[in-house]
Amino acid sequence: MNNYENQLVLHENRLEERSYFFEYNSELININNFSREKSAGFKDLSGNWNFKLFEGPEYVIKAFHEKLQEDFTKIKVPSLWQYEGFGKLQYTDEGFPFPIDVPKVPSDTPTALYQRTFVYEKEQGKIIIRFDGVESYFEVYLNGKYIGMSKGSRLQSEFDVTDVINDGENFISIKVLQYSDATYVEDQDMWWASGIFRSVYLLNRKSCIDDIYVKTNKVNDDGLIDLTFKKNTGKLRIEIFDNDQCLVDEVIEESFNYKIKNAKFWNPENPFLYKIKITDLETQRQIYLKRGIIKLEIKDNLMYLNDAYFMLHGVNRHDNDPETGRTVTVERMKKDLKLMKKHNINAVRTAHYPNDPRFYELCDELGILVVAETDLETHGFDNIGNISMISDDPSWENVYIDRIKRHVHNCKNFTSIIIWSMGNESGYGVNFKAMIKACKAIDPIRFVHYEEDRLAEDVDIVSTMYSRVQQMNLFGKYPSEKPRIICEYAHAMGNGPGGLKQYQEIFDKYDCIQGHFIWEWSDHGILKNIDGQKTYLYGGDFGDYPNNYNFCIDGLTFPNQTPSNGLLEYKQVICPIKLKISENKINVESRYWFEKKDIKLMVEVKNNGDVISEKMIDEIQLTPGTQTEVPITDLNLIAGDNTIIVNVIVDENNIGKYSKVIYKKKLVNNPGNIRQVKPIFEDDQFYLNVKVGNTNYLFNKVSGLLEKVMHKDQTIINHGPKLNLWKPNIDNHKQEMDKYWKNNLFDVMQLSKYNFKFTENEVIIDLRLAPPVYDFGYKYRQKYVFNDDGSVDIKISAKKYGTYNEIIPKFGTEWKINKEFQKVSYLGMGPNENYSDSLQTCHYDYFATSVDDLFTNYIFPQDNGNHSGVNSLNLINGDVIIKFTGSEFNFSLWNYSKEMIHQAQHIHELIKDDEITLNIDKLVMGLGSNSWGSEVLDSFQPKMKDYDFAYKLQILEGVEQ
Amino acid sequence: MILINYNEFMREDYYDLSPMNRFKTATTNKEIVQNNVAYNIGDSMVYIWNPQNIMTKNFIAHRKYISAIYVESGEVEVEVAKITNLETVNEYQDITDEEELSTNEYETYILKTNEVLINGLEDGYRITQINGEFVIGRISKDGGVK
Repeated sequence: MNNYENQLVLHENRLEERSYFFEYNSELININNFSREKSAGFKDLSGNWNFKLFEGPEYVIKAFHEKLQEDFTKIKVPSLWQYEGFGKLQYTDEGFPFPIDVPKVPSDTPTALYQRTFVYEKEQGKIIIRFDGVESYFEVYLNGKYIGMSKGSRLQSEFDVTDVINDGENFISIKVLQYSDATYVEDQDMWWASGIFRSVYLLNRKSCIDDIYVKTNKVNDDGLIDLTFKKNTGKLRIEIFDNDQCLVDEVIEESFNYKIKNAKFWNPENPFLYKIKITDLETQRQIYLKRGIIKLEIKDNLMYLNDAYFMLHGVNRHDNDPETGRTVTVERMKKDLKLMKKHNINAVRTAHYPNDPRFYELCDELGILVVAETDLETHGFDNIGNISMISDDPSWENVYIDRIKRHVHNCKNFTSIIIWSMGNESGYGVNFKAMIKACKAIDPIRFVHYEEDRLAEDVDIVSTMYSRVQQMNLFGKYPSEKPRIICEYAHAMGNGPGGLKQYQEIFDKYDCIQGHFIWEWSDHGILKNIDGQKTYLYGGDFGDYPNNYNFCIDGLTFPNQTPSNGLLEYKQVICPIKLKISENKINVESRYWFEKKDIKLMVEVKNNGDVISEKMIDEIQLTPGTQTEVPITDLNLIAGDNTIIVNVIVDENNIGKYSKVIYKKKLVNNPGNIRQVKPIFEDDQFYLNVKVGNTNYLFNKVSGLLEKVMHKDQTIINHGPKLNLWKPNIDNHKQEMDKYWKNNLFDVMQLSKYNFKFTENEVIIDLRLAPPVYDFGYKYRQKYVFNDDGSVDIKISAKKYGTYNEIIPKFGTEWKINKEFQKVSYLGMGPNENYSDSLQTCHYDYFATSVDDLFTNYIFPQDNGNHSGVNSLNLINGDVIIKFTGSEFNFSLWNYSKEMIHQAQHIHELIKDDEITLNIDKLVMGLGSNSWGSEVLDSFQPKMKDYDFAYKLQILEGVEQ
Repeated sequence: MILINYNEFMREDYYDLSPMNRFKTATTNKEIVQNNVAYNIGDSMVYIWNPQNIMTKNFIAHRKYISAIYVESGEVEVEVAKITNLETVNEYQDITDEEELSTNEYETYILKTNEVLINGLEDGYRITQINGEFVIGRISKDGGVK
């Protein structure tokens, strides 16, 4: 049996796992400027390597490692070779890309050889080669000699090469197999791709220390630091620094304890790190660590950090870059984490594998709590009816234990990690029990999480995924004896997620629910240039089959790290400062967990769109969980029928926005320069033309439609308004689409006219909208009332008929507008797109924008750009304005037809229309997150019912808007 | 509303197969779970053995979750009424999936040992007496994703 199809062989010659640290031997390095690149004997082997991909491991010549091969090409390391143009990419959510035949993998498993030479200045001590990530099985050869092999794609591996490495020229060869027995426990929802995808480097170790374990605690206001070592005989000098101030300087031989009086404790709101310098007095080697002091405990069934209750406002994050996949730079990691901080996120789950160690260093520094998941998922066994197949097979126990031991030992000194997660979606069984026991044996302090320990027999934290809000309510009402988190929810695929506010209400209601993690942080689209246009590809676009299509386009950020509206919504929902605004005061509540905060409020008062007051309110200090009231100008004093809006931005960094409409003035028509005018009706066999001043409304008497609106000599409206129930689908409505709308042919509903008549100022049309095949639909009267002021009231009174009573995508009207009307202003909910269950990032105000800017270019095109609660909408071309007013309607405006948006499956497939599509809707379905999880809540589901809908149209000229 | 013997319930299929099968599993879990604690099996079914404070003055109707009650021992009294016969007392809440209603027209069922009551979305119900051990499940009508 070979090593790559034998789960009983975990490695050959891999060094025992230990914590992540480096030794330094230069006096130029100090506590403020150390980095691993400056460490002793550090040699980064990143760069161009010789490379060749074979169609299977047996195609590889046996003696490949003896010399540099001549027919190799180049590849950069680190990288995933599929992203560099070799082999094939494939995306599956959970299905294995080959037949299940444990522990066998296909004989044509792609196998790569890497080779390079390098020069190394050999020092005294041990020379270690370290791999931070190789997927999934690899063998290392140095100077023609076999060094060892390892598995565990996202776990670190070290080998001792002291006896083999030359002082001077060296030659290294590495064989990497894409699949191995280990693949059966690495079936995470992501692209199948492989290679040396994280750093590989050499380092030198000469001190007496093999491993370090830093533990901390808090006793009243004092912080305890406890250092234990795995070491040989030798004295160590320990120095601990608070910034540059040395707090202690002691020589020890075994372990070290130190109490810092009135210590600064680390928390995500103030991530203070002490610095620790350890010097081996014999070799003068130094080790530098940064460590925050924390205390973790569960008491009364709740988690506490530094004696404070807290909640994890989290996201699940994969390593991802649209050009390099799971090979991510430190800069990219840092940008991700800074974006999280900016959006009030305080926790990340490393779904579903350990990250580059530098990621945790950044979490320590920036203040992000970490649920650190190890590299384990067997989801694909669900397809054969037994997800626990190997989780409950004792012959795999060592694999499970190996993965948690390596993970915990490597990461145990990172402050930000407060929870160890045993993996993801792998059923449950004896191997998890053994794994948890092994984890606790190393680290008895941090909490243990694994979602599929449903009865919470072994874990410290009970967890679910995709539980609906009503279920979370039950979990809160009937709590477990252990704290609870929801480790995945609000699947952020495409437009959405909606319903975050309702979830948060429940999370905030019950103390026992202490964490929530949105799935997921970023889309996994792969950047390509097609026909000169940047676009993102997904499953199936590389000829990969089977695939889970665009299921990997499910993040709060687009692949290029641009926040989606879903992220903005989340930011507001979890804003740590809650405001309640009234006419003369603002109630301010702190939902920070740890720190007393100075809070600044930027308060703006608007009167009919004009800013009449701007003020910064500071000197508000709140401790966690407290609230206060601050006075503002008494808005009761502003007389008259005005729309008064108070907008408040929290903090100079804008951690949240709140708004309140204090008064809303009655809607009146803006007459512009339209004079009082009587409509003139010009009737013939086929058409009725209604002339109102310079504007002609042309009705097709046969179809019953307003076919055209001409202003002077220009066609400004190409048609409308047609009753419409259909919209381009969104990922989060796929189930409704499949269950209700597609089968019932909502996409090809047909209009038919019953009657057409007119009076001296009205056009009255009776119509029917219904799908072919079936006998349900709407029979409705559409009335146009031509008013003396030149405006037109459009009134629809619709009666449903037939047996269909279920959800409809929307109820509204579709218009086609001359494409020159690109400028837009509106009074309604904005500025971001918003839906009935996704409104928290928006407020009611006056906004100016353009049709292009209203469009959200989702990687997988879909319905977007809705604005709700609208009272007024202006489409502007020069001095001509098409104005709609009404009582809280929705609108969306696209330079594309709905059919185009619905059919296109990539950005580059979208082709602009030669007219603008305008939707004015009474009801639009909420978003939900049912691409995987929560259906749209009942209140936000339009149902097939009778509806009346009315709004007003005006054509204005020469009016400032 | 369906009232049925437990053995028959375990043999037959009701509503969406997967969530109801999860409730069947829940009925066998008494020895491994705690009373008055909500547990889930997947994301389509939550159950509670011997919940406290579950008796209500008003009838409760759901729009999303079917309720099922299995009496393992003793008796549980449940009153059931068609929602069309009920008057709203408190409006439907999305976050609880509950609407509170009242009526004087209802049927009373004394669930005995080894009986299962499945209350669909067309009926409101209230538990009025508990004298035994039972499990209540909230079962998604939409199925689940996991």
